[in-house]
Amino acid sequence: MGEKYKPLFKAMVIVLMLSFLLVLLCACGQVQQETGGADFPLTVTDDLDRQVTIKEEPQRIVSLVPAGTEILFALGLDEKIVGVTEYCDYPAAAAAKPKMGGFSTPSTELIVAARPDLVLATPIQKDFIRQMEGTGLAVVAFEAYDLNEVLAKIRLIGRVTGAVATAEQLVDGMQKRIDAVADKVSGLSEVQKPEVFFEIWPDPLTTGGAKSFLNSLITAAGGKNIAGDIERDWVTYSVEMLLARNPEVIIFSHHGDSRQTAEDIKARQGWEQVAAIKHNRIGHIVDENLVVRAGPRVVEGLEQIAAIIHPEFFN
Amino acid sequence: MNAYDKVWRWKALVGILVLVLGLTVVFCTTIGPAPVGFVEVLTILLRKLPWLGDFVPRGDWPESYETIVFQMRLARVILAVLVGAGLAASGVVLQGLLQNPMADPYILGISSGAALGATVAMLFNIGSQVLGMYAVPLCAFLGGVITTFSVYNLSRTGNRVSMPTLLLAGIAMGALLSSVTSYVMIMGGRDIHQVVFWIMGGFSGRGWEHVRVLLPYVITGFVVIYFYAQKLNVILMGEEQAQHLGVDVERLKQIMLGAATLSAAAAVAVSGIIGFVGLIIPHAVRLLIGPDHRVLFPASALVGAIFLTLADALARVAAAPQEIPVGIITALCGGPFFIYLLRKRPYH
Repeated sequence: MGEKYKPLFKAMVIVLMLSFLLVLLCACGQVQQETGGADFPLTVTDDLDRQVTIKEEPQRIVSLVPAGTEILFALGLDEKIVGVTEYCDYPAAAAAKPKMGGFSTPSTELIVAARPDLVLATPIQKDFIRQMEGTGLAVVAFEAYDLNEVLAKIRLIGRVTGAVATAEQLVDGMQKRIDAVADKVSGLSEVQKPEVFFEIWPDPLTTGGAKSFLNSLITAAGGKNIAGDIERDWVTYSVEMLLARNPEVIIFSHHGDSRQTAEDIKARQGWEQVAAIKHNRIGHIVDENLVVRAGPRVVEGLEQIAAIIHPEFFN
Repeated sequence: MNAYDKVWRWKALVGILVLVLGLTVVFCTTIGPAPVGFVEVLTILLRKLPWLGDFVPRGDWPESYETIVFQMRLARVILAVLVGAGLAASGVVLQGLLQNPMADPYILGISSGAALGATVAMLFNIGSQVLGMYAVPLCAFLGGVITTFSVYNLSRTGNRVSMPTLLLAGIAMGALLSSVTSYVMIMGGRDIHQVVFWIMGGFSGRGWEHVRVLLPYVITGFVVIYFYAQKLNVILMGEEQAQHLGVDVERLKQIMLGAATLSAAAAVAVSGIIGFVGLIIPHAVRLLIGPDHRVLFPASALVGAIFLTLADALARVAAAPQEIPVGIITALCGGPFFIYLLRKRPYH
């Protein structure tokens, strides 16, 4: 290193070290509390591993997650919801609630102005969660990547909103429907479980890997996800791979509106070799939110997928 | 016009810009999606003044309004001021050093290095256990600084750095790192969302912590640039000439690059990659007041701050409650104005 810019280098090293220190100092400051019972005040551990204390039964709830909004409505907490995101479109009444901004950029000032005593969020929103916490709001972050987690998260939301009994009922009902599907497909041998390709988006060809919610639905419906060996959530899949794996069933449910139909998929060049196309086994799930949104309607998604994969059991 | 008059006019110009910046800060704090009235915001702000505030009566507003005005809006506005000033100042220095009109704070690879750092931090959750919210800014900052440092060293032969080589090395390194970032992103699946938003840049979800992180770098950068601004003028006459006039050109380059890199990397670390400000503001100000760095530097920093603060205010309210990435606004508003300036006063 040249003599001349040693001082500059030194200065940079010092600045970097100082910034490390500053950051470490600021990072310490978590409060630990004991987990309470079902009554308020209640302390829960959320999916960001934070201990959140809810002082009283929430009367004003903001949901920054479409799945959370669906769960709140299903728990009959309609009246208590004072804010949702632009993407909260189900049930229809959700669309009429005040909007707190988008999913990726909720407006924290609108949320604070709505004076909620509980905010439901998801870990991806952690920057906003920290900011809301700084203003003293109780924020519970949750996410779910398989069917069991959805049930667990509905119970969690039941606890933090004081709707424990309703949540149990909801979960029981869902569990029954999941069991009904499981009863029919549990006796199948590995050979009887068809290979399934689930298309989320046509270009680039996108599907769900092992860590996706879809994977758990396909498995529960008695199918084998051909992308299930990829340890990721969303996967851009090569057409070549698709042809090589030769799935027996193709299901598509496009994010937003792709205007694609089963006929379009059949007409794709080179795809005519695929078993699913040859045997005309292409299923369409019109509402993608049944299969990607981790709310109460996932059981409907499960039933639809099961009916597509095993029409012999379900029609 | 004699030198004395000139200095006076500069001081007046900088004074006016400081005043406009002050008004912009107050004005932009009064607007936002939440229904806090203009007068209420002003009263809340006044009440926070050191001793004068005690004389202002509290109005009939909910507690939450003070949180909104202080913790959300004012923090964001101040952050926009610092980032705007930092990027514009850094742009002035790089355009001066590289003598290239395309130069901006990102030309030596800061943005691509920072983007890679931030992407890796977000997708692999690096350090978030220990560093929490500071993990992404820190990785972005390190990515930016390390990249520029390597670009500088790659272009060095002996003790000399040729500016054209530096420029090309920066572009090559930038392209290389961008492709690595893209690769990491496609492997990231669902979390790609976060990365895309970060790369587009903006102040959504930012607060006083970010101001605290950024402030020391911007101040250090400014002090250094301010004291060396005159020497940067000498470089405009050509490096050889500057050397003859007794300026240690290589040393000046190191100091100025260091200062510009620190302020730009810190700005990118807290706000993502906001384009346009660092490129266009210095050009526009140069077209209006001339190339003397002693006034060009402070004036560009102030105009950059004013411009970005206004742009962010627009980003917050234009499509409320949705937010528009601020980079879209900076280019959309600044582009036509700059084209107008170019037509009216062609570069010589």
